[in-house]
Amino acid sequence: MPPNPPPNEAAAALPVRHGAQTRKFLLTTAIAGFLVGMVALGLAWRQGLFESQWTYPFATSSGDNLSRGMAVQFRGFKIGYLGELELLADGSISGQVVIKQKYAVFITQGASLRLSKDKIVTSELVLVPGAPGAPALTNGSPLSLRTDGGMDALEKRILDRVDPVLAELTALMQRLGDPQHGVPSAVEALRVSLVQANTTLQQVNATLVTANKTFGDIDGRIKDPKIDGILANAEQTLAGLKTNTDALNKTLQSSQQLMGAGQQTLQGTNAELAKTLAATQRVLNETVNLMQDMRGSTLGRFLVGPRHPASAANPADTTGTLP
Amino acid sequence: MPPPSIGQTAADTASQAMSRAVTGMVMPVQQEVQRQSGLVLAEAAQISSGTLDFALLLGAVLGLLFGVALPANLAGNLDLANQLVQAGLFGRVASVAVVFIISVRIILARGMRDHSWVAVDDGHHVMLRHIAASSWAAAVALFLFLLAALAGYAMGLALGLPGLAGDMLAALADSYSLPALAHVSLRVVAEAAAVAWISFFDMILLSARREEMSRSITRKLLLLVCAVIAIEALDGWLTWGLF
Repeated sequence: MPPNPPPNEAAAALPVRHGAQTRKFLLTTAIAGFLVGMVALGLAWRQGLFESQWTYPFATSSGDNLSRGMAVQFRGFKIGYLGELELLADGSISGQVVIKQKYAVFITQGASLRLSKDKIVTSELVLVPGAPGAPALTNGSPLSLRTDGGMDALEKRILDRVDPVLAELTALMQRLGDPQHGVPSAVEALRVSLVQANTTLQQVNATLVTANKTFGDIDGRIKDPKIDGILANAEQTLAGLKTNTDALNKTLQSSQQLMGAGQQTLQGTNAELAKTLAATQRVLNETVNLMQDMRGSTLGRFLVGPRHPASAANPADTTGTLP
Repeated sequence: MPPPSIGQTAADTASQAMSRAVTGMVMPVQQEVQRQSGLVLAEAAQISSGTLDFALLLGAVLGLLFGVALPANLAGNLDLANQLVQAGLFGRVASVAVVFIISVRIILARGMRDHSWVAVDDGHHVMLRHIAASSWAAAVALFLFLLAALAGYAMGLALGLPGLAGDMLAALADSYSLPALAHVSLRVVAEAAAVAWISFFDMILLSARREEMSRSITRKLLLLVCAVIAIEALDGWLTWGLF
């Protein structure tokens, strides 16, 4: 590496050399500065910094969520910003909002500022207009600031409602967590039941194993030739027994038919007897009537004599003994 | 026309003599100022060589990323999106990116003893000139970065969520704080000046002894990182803690 030349000699050799690189840098500086300046001017014009602005002081007891530069909104539009904020010696907070003059018509008598925290990160001041038709306030008129509205109040209302629910939920969780009557006891009972069920299942399993073994033994015995012989004999016996049963069945059917015929005969005899008895009764009744007629006649009283008092008291009694 | 009196002639003579004396005293100063300004310009041009185009490119890429990423996540909250863009893309990200680009150029050129830098090393006001040139180059790089980032952000919004691009840009224009532009410019200039001073201080005091070049450059880079972090932290503390 060649050694560096002495500084002063180098400077004397090249005092100031404005080559293409320098001219390019100057041009770049000019263009960049011009463009940034134009952008800044455009932003300033868009934000209304070249317009006249009115100021409105306010006082509050706390500077929480207040910061210089925060927007003043009216119906969703930014109409100004918080220009000054100062803590006074008596502990109060003094502030001043800056409003574009063209929007000053919205600052009417009775208008106030409300601190809103509807945004996630930032808070903002919202202009609450006065009564409709009220005259506009002049430049420098004081405004009131309300800090009890917006999301704080909503948050408080929500918390007021949520807190009892949380307390009940906590009590419910405590009850559920009670070792005597809560979920732990239920889990313990369930565990005991499961242990018992497990024991039962083990017993059933043992029984099934035994049954399986028994069935294995039975299967082995069924395959024994002796059992085959016994079963063949039993089959023959059953076949013979079936033959006998069929014969017996036929006999029983014949007996039943015979008994049916006897029954019919008895029923016919019974009917005939009933008819005979009815005819006999009729004859007897007619005979009784005839006897009564005869008693009523002169010849009857002469031959038979008067009727007994008992029979006279009940002349319809036909069961009485004949004289 | 009457001839001038003796008193008037003497007064004219004295005035001319005084004028010559003042001119004789002012001219060297004026020439020296012009010469020093020229040297600052030359050094700033040297520093910006190879850095401005990179600042332009980095700004466009970061702006494009912000523009594509933000609408998908924060389209429902323009205020938060604008805060992120202002505090990030046009705030900390811009200052840190620009200062690192400029600083690497300064430290590598100084640390590797580039001969082209000797041309402005005449032994007079070298440190002040070095600081001024670095600050100038950093400011120009910042302006280019911001312009490219703005263009990239607009393009990213148009790509990411075309329906809301206009509204988001309008909301950004309405909410962007112009003092923030001066703030970030001042911070970049301060950081560039600190880096320039560190490189000069290290070159004079710490590099006097014989040591490896890589070791010297490493030390400067670490000092550069510490300086940038310290200035950013101090600025954050002043911004959020005091103002």
